[in-house]
Amino acid sequence: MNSSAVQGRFNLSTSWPCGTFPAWPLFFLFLFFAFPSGAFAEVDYKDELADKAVALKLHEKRQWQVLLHYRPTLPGGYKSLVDDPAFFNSPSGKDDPLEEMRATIRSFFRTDTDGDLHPQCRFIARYKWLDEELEIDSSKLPGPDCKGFREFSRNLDPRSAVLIFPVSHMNSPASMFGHTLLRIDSGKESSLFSFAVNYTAVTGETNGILFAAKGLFGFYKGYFGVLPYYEKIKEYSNLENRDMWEYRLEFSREEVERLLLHLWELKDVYTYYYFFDENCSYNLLLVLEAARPGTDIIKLLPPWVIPMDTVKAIKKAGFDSGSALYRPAKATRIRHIETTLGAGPRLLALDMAFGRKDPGQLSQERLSREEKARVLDLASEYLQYRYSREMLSKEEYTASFLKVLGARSAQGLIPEYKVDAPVPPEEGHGPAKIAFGGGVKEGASFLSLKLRPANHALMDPDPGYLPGAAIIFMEGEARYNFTERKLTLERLTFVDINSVAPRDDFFKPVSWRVSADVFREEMRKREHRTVARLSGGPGLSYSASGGLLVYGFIGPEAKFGSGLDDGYALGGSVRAGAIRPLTGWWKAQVELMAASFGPGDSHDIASIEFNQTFSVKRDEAVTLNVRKEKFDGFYSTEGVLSWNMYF
Amino acid sequence: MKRFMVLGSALAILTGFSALPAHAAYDTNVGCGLGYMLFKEIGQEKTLFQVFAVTTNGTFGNQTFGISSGTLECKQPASFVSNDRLKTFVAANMETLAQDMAAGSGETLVTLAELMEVPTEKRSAFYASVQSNFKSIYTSADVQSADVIDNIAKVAL
Repeated sequence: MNSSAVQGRFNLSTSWPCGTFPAWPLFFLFLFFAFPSGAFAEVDYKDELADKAVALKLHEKRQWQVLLHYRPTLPGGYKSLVDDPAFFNSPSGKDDPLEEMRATIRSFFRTDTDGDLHPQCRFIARYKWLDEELEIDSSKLPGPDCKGFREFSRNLDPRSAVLIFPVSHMNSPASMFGHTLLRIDSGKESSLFSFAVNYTAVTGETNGILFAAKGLFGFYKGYFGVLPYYEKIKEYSNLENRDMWEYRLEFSREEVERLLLHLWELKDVYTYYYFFDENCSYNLLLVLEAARPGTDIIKLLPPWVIPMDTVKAIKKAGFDSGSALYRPAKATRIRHIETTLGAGPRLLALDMAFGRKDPGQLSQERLSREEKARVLDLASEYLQYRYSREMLSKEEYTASFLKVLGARSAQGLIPEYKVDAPVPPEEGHGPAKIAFGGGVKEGASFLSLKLRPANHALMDPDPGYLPGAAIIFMEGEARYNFTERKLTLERLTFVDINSVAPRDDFFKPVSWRVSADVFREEMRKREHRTVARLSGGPGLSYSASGGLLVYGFIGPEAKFGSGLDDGYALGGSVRAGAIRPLTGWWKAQVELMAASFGPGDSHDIASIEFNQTFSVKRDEAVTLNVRKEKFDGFYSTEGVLSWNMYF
Repeated sequence: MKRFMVLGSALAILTGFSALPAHAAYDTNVGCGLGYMLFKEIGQEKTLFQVFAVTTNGTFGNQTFGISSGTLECKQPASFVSNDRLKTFVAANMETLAQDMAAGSGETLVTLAELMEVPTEKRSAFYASVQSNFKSIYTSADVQSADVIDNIAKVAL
């Protein structure tokens, strides 16, 4: 089609009245027959299409809502989640699906722009869908060449889609929420060359606290991005040391192509990023909906979305093909190779990585060929790990790296490393918990009710979670004391994070904990005060065989409350403990703690506690906690048995 | 005891929370040789506030539809001249590729064979060949991705 001719004809459109009363189409139909080759016919076609769309109520169709991310609002209207005005054709498009549809149809006739910028290309998913519904006669519209999309589509060669879930970092429990991205697979057998679709907040923030605050309240703009999958593997697996899970989606090729059309519309379009709800995972689900508009996947979500919920939602919606692939992170691989070697060869690898021993000297060692190969693999992996953390210079790195690999290439093939996949995260216990319990403290019995919306405590069942990483949000415990005949709020934990990260020859992480809570403190028998407390600090942890984790922490504590002398108390605490899974369903913890408070209210506390968890089912567990405390001169002992349910 | 704890606590505050940096910045410029891997800004593990960055998935750079990282600034190989994907892939995966070649197996090696269009039945011979010729492929620490491609073409194909 000759585009300049089209443009010439369409220039008339701006002067033509744009009404929508039903008689127009008939009138124009008449004109069309009266002047078959006339200029007026095209102008009328624009309104004819818009009227047809309105008559068909296309703006109320689910596809239209999905394509524009419209969500119902409380007053009964609709509002799009997208904040960028460039995403809409009408200035009122964000909350007017009807007007947006009219403006969109009209924009397809625009002649003041061409190529990739033309609305037919820019909003290619909307065009395709409206074309299907309205049977648009494309000969009456300008025919821009959507070169950008064509190349995009050719590059991606979309055949199937995979949901990617990089789980938490070692020593970074807050990342236990994880992240989700999408991978579009092509006809290639290797997924490394697939493309990853990622939604992230774009910031220029260097201040961590501001970053967190702004992230929570939607100050940042979120954008979709597309990058080769190997770049994402480098980022998550090699750099951040996050294991990744890959869930293949049961999308047909046609559905993946539809997804791609929609993604193209979201290119360079921003949406304000909200950490808790409108986050990466939520936005990704909106894109999945575009592939299969029949499914309202958002309805399957809780009010705030953690990436784990995305995985659960795709399972519920039937998007998932049922097989999850595990991609261990670099650090996981290093730890695995460590376990295949004895202490001697391990040290040898360490010496090589630190340049204390030349890989050429390996021939003098009394090791099998396979062991030598593993030593060299461990050395090269560890060199890379240290380099990525800037623990050695580029020159040192490249020289040692090639030397080690040169020696490795002489050892030939060895069986591939099989890192056992842990329990997939979606098969872990639910993040919310409710616990009913009963207990005794100093001869007085009580009932206990505990509630928490998220996420995982050190003593919760481990499967699906990273051992030693725990984060609790808003956990409350109420007690009814039979002796005092009183219902009290025993404790409200705002946040409690524990990162128990074991150290070994290769990794030297610093463990840490932080906690903020309000609790009822018993100073003398039946004498209580309400105290708000902030505490936290660094620690060290080591692991031993059988999953034993030993740890120690030190840190400041601050208490506030009217029951305290001067209303506050400043001090510090040390704690040491051990956790060990005794069987697959039973784990135990012992912890000793000593705290001393000086400025403000002066008092000393020492305690010892034994905690045990017995898993019954995935989402049910029995816990038994016994605690002995010395508060200045007052000794107390407490025991609680609880039934825990996760959901 | 009391003094010790207060002192210990103060020390803890200083060491544990002194650096409240933002998050890791990524340099997606892949370079052309060894040692251009992505860096982590902080050598140690993440601190409390960094983790928020990770959770909210912030990024410094402009997130775009970066279909390929590009190898325009790199030396161009004499073989596989028009195979842009191969060039980009090798440049972006110099380290892992080196490891996989030295081991004679691995995901990047499979990808490489696919991009070089090595027929399936000749793959295992190809893997064995790159392994035994590793030192003639990664010849020195200054080796560039273009050299690696040319060397493979010379010794292993």
